[in-house]
Amino acid sequence: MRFSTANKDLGDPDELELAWVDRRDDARILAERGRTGLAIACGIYALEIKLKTIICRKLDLERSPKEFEIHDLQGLLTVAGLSRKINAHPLIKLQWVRVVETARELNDFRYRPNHSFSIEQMTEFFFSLEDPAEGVLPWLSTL
Amino acid sequence: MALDPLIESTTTWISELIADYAAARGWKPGTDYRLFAEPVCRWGNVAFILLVREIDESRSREIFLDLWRIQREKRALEPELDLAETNLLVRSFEQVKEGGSYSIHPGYREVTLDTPLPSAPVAPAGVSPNAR
Repeated sequence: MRFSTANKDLGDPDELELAWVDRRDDARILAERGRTGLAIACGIYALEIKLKTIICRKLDLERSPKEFEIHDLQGLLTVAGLSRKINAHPLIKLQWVRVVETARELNDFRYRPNHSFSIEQMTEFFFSLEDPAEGVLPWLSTL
Repeated sequence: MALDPLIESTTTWISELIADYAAARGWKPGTDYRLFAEPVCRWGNVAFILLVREIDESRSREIFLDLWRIQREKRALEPELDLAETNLLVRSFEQVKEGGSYSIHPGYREVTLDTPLPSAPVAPAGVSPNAR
């Protein structure tokens, strides 16, 4: 008898590249409709996948290994070799720290009702994530 | 469990830097500002949250950038100083009271100069950091 496991990997870097953009777009659509909790969660997923894409490319991996199935953004930044590099950009670091702290409440964004998170909180999060000058995602996209 | 000495010395160094910054502005610990820290030993990082009474977004940015600059200047004067990576978040008391994405994660502990890192997480009285 043969057993198969549900040990699926996370896809190759090209798929991850498409996936982070999809999650970012999902986040934008949800944010436009005021769906605060899931909008923020999707934004966090977008960043997480973006970092995993960078790691795969930097380490020349065909697929993202199981070991990278973590949601710890600080850890992913470190593995991506960017935890010191970001220190050259104080405004981006400021936004990074805000995003990291927000992401630690990921379960709340998934399990709590939208009224637990104000529009102001969501707006601040998306500024930190997407602002062209200071946002974390635009900075990562320049690397 | 004992902390990594680098994490411990970094926590003390940053706490003192922030205490000096606060004292220069006449802020009193506890009433005008509070500092929380969380060692993230796995990634060689220490995360700090500085809560300041009555600040808005632009003041919050200004404080972050002030502390950033002071930290760089002090480190340039002490090139032999070995410090861990740090994250610093500046928030107001009001934001933390609001909760939601402004909550303080339960892993943080309040830092004072007498007790740079207490052994157990401390729920900050009156601020309800974990109110969600």
